[in-house]
Amino acid sequence: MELGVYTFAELRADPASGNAVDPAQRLRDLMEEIELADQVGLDVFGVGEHHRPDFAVSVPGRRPRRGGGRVPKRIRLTSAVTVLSSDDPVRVFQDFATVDLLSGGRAEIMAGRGSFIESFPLFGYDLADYDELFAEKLALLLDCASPSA
Amino acid sequence: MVGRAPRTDRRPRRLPAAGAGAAAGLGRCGRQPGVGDPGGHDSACRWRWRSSAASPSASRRSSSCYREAAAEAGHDPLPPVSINSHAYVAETSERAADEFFPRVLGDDERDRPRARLVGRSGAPTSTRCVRSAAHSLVGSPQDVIEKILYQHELFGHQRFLAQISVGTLPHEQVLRAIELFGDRGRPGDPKGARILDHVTIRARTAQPRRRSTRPCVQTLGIELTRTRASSAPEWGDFALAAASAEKPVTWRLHIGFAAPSRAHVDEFWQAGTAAGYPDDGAPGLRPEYSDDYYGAFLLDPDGNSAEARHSRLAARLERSSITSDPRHRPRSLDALLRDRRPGRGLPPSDASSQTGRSSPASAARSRSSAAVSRPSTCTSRSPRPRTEVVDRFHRDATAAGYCDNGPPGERTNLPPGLLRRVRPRSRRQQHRGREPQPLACRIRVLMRTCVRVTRGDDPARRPRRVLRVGRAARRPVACAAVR
Repeated sequence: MELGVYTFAELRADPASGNAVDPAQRLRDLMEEIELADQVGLDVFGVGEHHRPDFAVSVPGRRPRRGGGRVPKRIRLTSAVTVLSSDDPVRVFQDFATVDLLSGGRAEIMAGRGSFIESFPLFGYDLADYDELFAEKLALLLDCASPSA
Repeated sequence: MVGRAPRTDRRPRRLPAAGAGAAAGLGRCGRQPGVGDPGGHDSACRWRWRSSAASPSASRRSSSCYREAAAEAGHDPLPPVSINSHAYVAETSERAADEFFPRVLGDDERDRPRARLVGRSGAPTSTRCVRSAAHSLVGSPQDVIEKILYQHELFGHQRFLAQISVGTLPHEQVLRAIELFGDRGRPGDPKGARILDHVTIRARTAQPRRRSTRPCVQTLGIELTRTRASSAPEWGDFALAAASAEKPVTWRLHIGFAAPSRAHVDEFWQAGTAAGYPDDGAPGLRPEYSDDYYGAFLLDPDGNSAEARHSRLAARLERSSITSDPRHRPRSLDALLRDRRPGRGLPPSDASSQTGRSSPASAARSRSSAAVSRPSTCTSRSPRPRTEVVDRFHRDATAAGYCDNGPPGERTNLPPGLLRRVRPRSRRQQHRGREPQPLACRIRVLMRTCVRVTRGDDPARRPRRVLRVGRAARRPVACAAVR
């Protein structure tokens, strides 16, 4: 069984002290977490996406990979998840294909519909089309990924 | 990728939860053109299902639906399944609960759905949350192992992902939990577990060195752990002892001490040079080793080289690890231990006259130990506390030309302080995970055992409980609660 870690890079204030978390520091910490997970032999590191002020990452496929000065050497990099329904499948494929090439074939997409729904109004989608959006966009993403595309 | 029901107060209509409806949706998508083996693009695009139901039976239903839909759509083999869950692991169940739940169960209005996910009843910070039903995978390494194995019994998934940094856990705690999840031990250890159990250096005269070495080592914040006048001074895993006719001087050994900061490295070097140790490399960055490698080097009168080294990431994890740098291990012993084959990588020893038992202090920190020696080092290694490993180490090394310096066996005549350290842990202590355990490694061992048991069996006739599942996981469940 593969074992891994995933995160949304939350930014909620420390409940004890009330101190806010600096987003830049949070992303530096995230790079350190990826590096450590790679070093200790975990198989996968995933980054999710939320589109709210209390989360520091919103674009898992486009996040910087070279943070901390080192590129992870073994660990697979995945989204957890890519909210495909409110994204552009062609762009998603291009972004992940780039990361895949840069990382030596270790990028993967975890395509989902999203349990947090703030991305639907943000990108101009109607939540009433929840099922249809996912079906249509998944088909397009699969088309992009098929060898004949 | 089966959808989880969106959480919102503005939900326009009831959306299908994970389960039959979602699986039907997936089946619909699965029949679209372009589905199938993505071929060369497989590594770029792989889709996984994530479970979201709050109870194991619902999650099991969802995973069954998913597999049925995938089979119906012509996927062969079936796509892998991943379980993604809130999880946190600390050295003990109590510590895990105390550190995790207050972060997750804050006063924030938005925390309420999350509170429902992680626990239904009871005080949120009690260990009941770790042990009881419908909670996240929070606990000691043993707790988490049992829950993951229990989930595997239910879902047969191929991947488990832990969401650790829920509620903005402090960075140090997240790193610690990731480290406990991993199976390669500390950074720098290539194989897992820790490499060295302890290191003893024998000097021509211990007392003068002791006086001057002590301030050097203590500039790094490493506390003296044994100070009795009759015994060698010890700093945790590292000890100095006087050489004698039977136990010769250690020479040309390199020891790297972990320094908590670059200022500590500077202070170490300044204290050492002030005490008269020859400079072997001034404090500074060594980018040829790694980007943030900051070290300083000293020599002792026997030609041993001592280094203080600071690495930002390593220092956060381990302030007093003294022997974690694999580049400076004795090469041939390391090769022997890695290969576990007689003679491989070992030069014949040139110390044919050296015999005699090692003292208990140098030979025994694990329950069983053995010692072989070359003139230059007194290191021993116990990656796993299994007696057959110790036996094989000694047998292979002596067969390859190393001198016997103490055969395998229990060392019972140890000083009281040492005896306390080697006494085997009670079952209860083991269960509560007093020491960092390589969790992933143990899970994989258990999984391999499981595969051997079940391979080729008829699934319908398979005994209900195949995996070794312990106390925590036998309770009604803790599984697959993702957002």
